[in-house]
Amino acid sequence: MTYDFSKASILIVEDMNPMLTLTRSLLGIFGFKNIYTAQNGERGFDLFIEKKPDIVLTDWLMEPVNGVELVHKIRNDKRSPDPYVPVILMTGYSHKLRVEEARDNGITEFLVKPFTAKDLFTRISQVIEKPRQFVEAQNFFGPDRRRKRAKDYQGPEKREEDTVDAHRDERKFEILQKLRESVKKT
Amino acid sequence: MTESETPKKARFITPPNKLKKKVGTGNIDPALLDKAQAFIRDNPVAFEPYAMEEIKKIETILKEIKTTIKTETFDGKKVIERITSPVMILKANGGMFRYMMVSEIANILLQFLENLNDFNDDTFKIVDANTKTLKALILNKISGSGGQEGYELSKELYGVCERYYNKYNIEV
Repeated sequence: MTYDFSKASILIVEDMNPMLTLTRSLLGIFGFKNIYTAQNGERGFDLFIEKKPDIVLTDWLMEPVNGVELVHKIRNDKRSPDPYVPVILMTGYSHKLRVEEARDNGITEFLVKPFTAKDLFTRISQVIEKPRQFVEAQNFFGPDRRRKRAKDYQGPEKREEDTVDAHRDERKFEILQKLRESVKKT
Repeated sequence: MTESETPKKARFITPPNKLKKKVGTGNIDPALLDKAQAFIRDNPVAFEPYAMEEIKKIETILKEIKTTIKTETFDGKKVIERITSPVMILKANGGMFRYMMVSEIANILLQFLENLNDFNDDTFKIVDANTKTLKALILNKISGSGGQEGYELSKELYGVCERYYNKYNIEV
């Protein structure tokens, strides 16, 4: 049995246009029909109020309102139609302090870029199957932060998906060798 | 402590799982995952102009600080913060658009920057070396992971950071 994403809606907030298009296409392949998009947190919040999506997938670094600020608004703003909505933050950051900062602002899941199609699906599946309990405390409202952290990005794993093997290309091989020699002098 | 100063006790809430009700139970057809991964692999977007924009931001900062790094007003932490954003963007997006090695090297630099408290001449040299490497990869359109030679290059760059950590007694 497979999920039927056609009835669910998702909001993508991402300022880099090709990345926005790529993410939208991946979700389309997964079966999502109701996909809303915005290019910054400000527009994203307006769209969130208007469309009340079931999932929010947002980038971190954006102007004038970034992804973490957007999540804070979703969780705490009086206009928010669903402060419990699952929010997946897509970012290149994976340092412990960054993850904690995001969690402290109410992120549900962390999706480290670059990601594979499987990584994206896994995060979506996680918010479906393992929804977080919410905590309302004096200085925090959001998903319980005590679950284990997302794994850091491990570069070499991505090599399995490699499409261009530089050692088969003499020119590229030479460039890489020269770069390595110059790094040695640093 | 008065009553008004007493910290509010945390309340736990289990929201209804509306999402599961909509999508049902199950998994995903593996063929769809393959199709999605193939879409990432074959995406024709030219990443180079976006990457160059970020590399130029780093180069501009390096150029700016070349003369100020020794002055009293130089704010190393601020510089680290400014450089971190474009580096993170390169790390995040390179691998999404077939430039896995750009992601890998930007990640080495990102981790390095996130372990720093100050920016000195040695830091400058390391950031500069990484930036030049990233620029060369983009200008020569070296996508993919770079194979064994790419791995060796990454190892060298990691090694440079390691030597820095040892020299300045930075625990990572």
